[in-house]
Amino acid sequence: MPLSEKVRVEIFVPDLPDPIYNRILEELGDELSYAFGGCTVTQAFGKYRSASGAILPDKINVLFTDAPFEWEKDRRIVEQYVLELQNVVRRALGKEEAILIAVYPIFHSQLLELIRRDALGPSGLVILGVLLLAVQAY
Amino acid sequence: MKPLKKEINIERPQREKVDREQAIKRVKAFPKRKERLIASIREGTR
Repeated sequence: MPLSEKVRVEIFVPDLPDPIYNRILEELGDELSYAFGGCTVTQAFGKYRSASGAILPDKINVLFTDAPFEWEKDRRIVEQYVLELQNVVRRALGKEEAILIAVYPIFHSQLLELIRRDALGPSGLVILGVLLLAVQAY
Repeated sequence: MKPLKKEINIERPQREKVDREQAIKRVKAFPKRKERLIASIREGTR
């Protein structure tokens, strides 16, 4: 199955009571959607160890997008963009707090790209569904 | 009284397809959007 390369950009935004974190999520969501055509937010729960040694719960929102870049060719521009995003958050928060941004190459199935472009009609989707079920069963 | 039949047509607007060249152009223009973005985050205004 043909694959198309993308670069995933993930921004980990703490889910804290201060409304500024919600605005970071909203504004960066708009930015990623403008730059790359869309984004997704997932809520996640984790834990972290504080400096005093206590293990504390950690709620975060992960904002991510798959940018139409090629890792080898566009790495420099992605690095620059991520640095700028981090700088924006640091300045907006007005403190030395930084947020984590991860980037890595990822591959989309071209078949999914075709579905997104509505290239398959309803019958094509049924055939695809049957094929996927067959692959799963195998 | 007969209830009025309303046909509700819900369509999802088509997604814009951003290709590599377009994405590069938009990312390179990010410094122009940066200050407005910082202000929006700080003040919650658009």
